[in-house]
Amino acid sequence: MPFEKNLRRLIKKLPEHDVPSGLQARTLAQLTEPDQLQKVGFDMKLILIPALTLSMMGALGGLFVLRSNNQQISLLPFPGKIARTQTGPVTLHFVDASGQAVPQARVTLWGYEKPEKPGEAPPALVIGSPNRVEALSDAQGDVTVTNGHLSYFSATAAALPLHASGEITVSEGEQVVTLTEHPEHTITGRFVDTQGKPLMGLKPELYVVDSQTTQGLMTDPQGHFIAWIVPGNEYRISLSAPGYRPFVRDHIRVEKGQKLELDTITLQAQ
Amino acid sequence: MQIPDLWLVQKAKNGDTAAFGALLTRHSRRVYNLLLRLTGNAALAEDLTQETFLTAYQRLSDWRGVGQLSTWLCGIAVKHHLTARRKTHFTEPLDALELSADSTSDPLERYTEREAILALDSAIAALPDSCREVFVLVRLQEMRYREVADLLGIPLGTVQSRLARATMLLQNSLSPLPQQGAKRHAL
Repeated sequence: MPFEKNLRRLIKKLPEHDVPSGLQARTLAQLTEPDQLQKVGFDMKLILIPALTLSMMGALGGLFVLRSNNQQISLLPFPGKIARTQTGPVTLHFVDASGQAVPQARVTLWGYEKPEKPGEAPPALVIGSPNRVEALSDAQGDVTVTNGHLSYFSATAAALPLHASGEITVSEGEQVVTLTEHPEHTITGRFVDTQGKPLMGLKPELYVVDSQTTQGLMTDPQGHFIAWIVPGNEYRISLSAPGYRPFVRDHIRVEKGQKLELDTITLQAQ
Repeated sequence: MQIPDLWLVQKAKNGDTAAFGALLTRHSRRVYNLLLRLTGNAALAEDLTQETFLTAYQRLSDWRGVGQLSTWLCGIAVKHHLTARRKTHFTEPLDALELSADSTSDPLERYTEREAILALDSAIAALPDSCREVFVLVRLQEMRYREVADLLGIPLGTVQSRLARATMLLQNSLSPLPQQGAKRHAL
């Protein structure tokens, strides 16, 4: 076989090296706010091309919809409609801002039912084993996930006001999660029905007026939701849930260093 | 199934560091391995990977979802590598290397596949910087000649000549004995 052909074949087999441990945590700890948070006003083609390409790949099953908002286009994510593929154990390694491991962090993991085929009705959140699991990080700050149905986590440190939530993004191996200070820059609230019963699994939407983007939220078994936000912007929280009248709260602002707790929201039956 | 980069970038632009953490987890391996190949130095590759992501965080609005995010990140990584290299006052007597190789001979045939991969790994690391950069970007990263030329700030013809030279150096390095009239490139 000529050298160059053999060379090209072998290049694809060259070993890859693991990212040094702690690199991700150190990088996250050094993040400063972007110079300027951009106001998001997209050209139609900039959104349509990747969104349509992704849709045509059939992989996302309606992950995005395009909606006109005050004559601007917003890309609306629907978290929870994706079931990830896990190929092996995933270790979530919880650290604080300095990169130190956080043991005894209380971690909630959850997932969604996988759709039968892409494009079919969106999967439902399944509460309870095996699609919702509670765990504590060990002395090294680790929680190992072997259940491939679990895709999302939220974690709170036991003794410190630290919190993180997000998506499990690796198929296997380690994912470093940095817990950040809880009290700052959040909007929290609680949904109950007219009997005072907490409503879990609801999906309120947080609309960022300045950037015209929407973030999906979710209520926990006590009906609480939490949104991590950038201070100084104007927000709107809305909810459309079957069987209840729509809820909208406008003109929400949180100044730097503040934590906004909304009153308990009682949803009226339709 | 992964949440698309476009969505995570949107969230990160709004200050969601967890979303940026997800991007970091997803792409740091590729960026780190690219920098490791370009620099041949693990500590420097680690520093440059960190700088790459810190720069990317500041410039997230430059990426609008057209093209792969990983390609955009690799572009930033290469620029950081070039800046670091310039600081070392890099000079290289590339023209002094006399090269010749028999295009029909394949030194890799002497090795088992495992040996060939290990030998090739070392031989790429031992290439002169300018040849290794082009070789890594074209052959390993599968970038187009024009993209590499723009990224490195060199003419298209220089990309082609450095790639040819890198291939020849590898062939010489992997050969059992130095060929007559050619200097063997040290492994």
